[in-house]
Amino acid sequence: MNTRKLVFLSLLVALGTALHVLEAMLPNPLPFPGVKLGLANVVTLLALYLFGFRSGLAVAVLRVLTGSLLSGTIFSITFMMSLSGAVLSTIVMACLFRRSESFSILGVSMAGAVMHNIGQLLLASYLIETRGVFYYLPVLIIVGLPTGFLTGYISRLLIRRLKEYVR
Amino acid sequence: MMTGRRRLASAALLAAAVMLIFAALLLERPREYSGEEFLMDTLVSIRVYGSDVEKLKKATELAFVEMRRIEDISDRFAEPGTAAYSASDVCRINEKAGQEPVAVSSDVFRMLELSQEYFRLTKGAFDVTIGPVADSWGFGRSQQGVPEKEQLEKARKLADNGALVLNASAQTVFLAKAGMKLDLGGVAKGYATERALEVLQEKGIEAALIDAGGNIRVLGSKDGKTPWKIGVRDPRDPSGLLATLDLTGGSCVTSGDYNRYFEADGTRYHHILSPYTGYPARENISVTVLTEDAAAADILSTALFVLKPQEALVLAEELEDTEAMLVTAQRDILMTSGLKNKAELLAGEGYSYDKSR
Amino acid sequence: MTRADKLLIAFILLIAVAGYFLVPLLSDEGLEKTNIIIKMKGQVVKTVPIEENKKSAFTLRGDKGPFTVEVDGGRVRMVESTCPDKICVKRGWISNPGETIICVPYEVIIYFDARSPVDAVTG
Repeated sequence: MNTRKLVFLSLLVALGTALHVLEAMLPNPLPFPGVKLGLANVVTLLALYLFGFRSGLAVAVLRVLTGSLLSGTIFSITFMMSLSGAVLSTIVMACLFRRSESFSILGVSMAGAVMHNIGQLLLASYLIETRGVFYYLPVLIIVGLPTGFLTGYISRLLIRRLKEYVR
Repeated sequence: MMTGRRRLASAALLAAAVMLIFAALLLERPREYSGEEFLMDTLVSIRVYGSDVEKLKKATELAFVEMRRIEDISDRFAEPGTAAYSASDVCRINEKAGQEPVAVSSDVFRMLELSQEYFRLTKGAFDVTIGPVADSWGFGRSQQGVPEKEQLEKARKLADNGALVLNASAQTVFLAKAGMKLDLGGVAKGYATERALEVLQEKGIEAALIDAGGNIRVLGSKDGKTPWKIGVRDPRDPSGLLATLDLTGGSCVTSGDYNRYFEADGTRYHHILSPYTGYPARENISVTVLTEDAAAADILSTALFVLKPQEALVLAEELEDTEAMLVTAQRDILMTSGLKNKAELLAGEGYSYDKSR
Repeated sequence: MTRADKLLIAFILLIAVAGYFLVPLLSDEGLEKTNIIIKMKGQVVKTVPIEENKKSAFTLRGDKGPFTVEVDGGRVRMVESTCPDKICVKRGWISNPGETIICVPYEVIIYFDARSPVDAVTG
């Protein structure tokens, strides 16, 4: 790993953390758990597209870790849910990314957002020992589409500008 | 090959047959009829099961009539000079305390016989002559308060089961000392419930559940085999359950310190007074008794509540066809051995129980 | 957006709609409503028998604060909670077996017990 990459990834993690903490402070207006704008996922996408799967995964995990640390939710259920959501979504996004001739970053991002929510519910149902959480599944899936679109759009703009600086 | 007309006829016949079978099944379908009335200071619900709704309804009505009758003859708070007063055997007995024996109905006589039997059996833990003591606390009336020591001592002297004289041949009752008062509060509800069940049985009912403010009496079963599931209220959390019990027949009565009480100077004084001390019994907070007869269950739940937990448990184990569950003041849950398979304890915070089964 | 993207969106929407109908079927459905169970951190902390026309309300302590539950006959809801998002409160009343109220941060679930009902309550 060269220094440039290290610095870049660290910056992404820092940015993601800031976004994570910010979003955690916003109250949830809807009666559904885990509905977020997901802006912090932008950094995951950037890392994924600019540096590859392992970097993407690393950034995602580190972002959740430090983000939860700073917002006081570390090692709580919320943290576990975020982590599982982030990991699952990164893996899925990487898979789609490999075939990126077919999918644009928008599609990848939307899939990622949906998988993030599913991942969160899966873990919640396991930890709280109930299948009742899946009551929220359809809504969360649908909500994942616009938030994913937004994240993807922003990421696309940023990637165009950042591409040169990374090589 | 059937002709068109034949086909029509067969189809019509078939349809008619199906409808007849359907109707027959519908009529025979087990139904539930339930009635509720406010009696003896509590809500009494009678649920009967059978196929003939008219029969169920009639039986339930008669059962309530019987319960009212028992209520009337055992009511000790009727106003003097009213019809209710002269209809109440207990009022008449109390009026003639220290004077002369009073002829009473066979029901009141039976209740008193039973009470004396259990007075002996429980070594005084259940005593219907506790009336004066209950009065000094004000239970049953509107003004309740802690009595003065002198007043209580005077009242206690009048609580003397030995001075309750029953004459079986004449069916009379005599309170030997003036000022003595009978209080059938610990047996009347159970007795009334048992009588009500007898009425239902006489009317051909095969499955029923009577719930007289927590005094449960069951008959048969809803589907012919499943036992009734009775929930036991959590004494310190009245909206929750402590346990569920399987009842295949008979009665289930609970005495608790949380239903009737008053508070004075930060202490709670409940209505189950110990004949030994004259004060509310503090050994247990809830006692549930299961046995066939509802009157016996009512008496025993009060008696066991007053006794020390270990004594109560031993007594319950000795009695035939009787099971009990006690929740002590220390929040320990004790059960007779026969109950362990029929009870399911639900989580209650702060309770401890013997988990060895 | 590419064609594949659009197909993906359609696929996801399909799953969501299917889920909407399938999820209720998957949950534990008893035929009768029985007791209301409140579990906190995996332990049952309260069992409320369903008694028609009986209303009750009580407050329990969650991890970082109290929450209040109200029972009205065969339905239940979270009246108030000190949890941050109050999704459990916004859930409103539940009355069918299989429905649940969940408060994720406090690890609280409220659901209907699918065992045989209590016929009467003594005490």
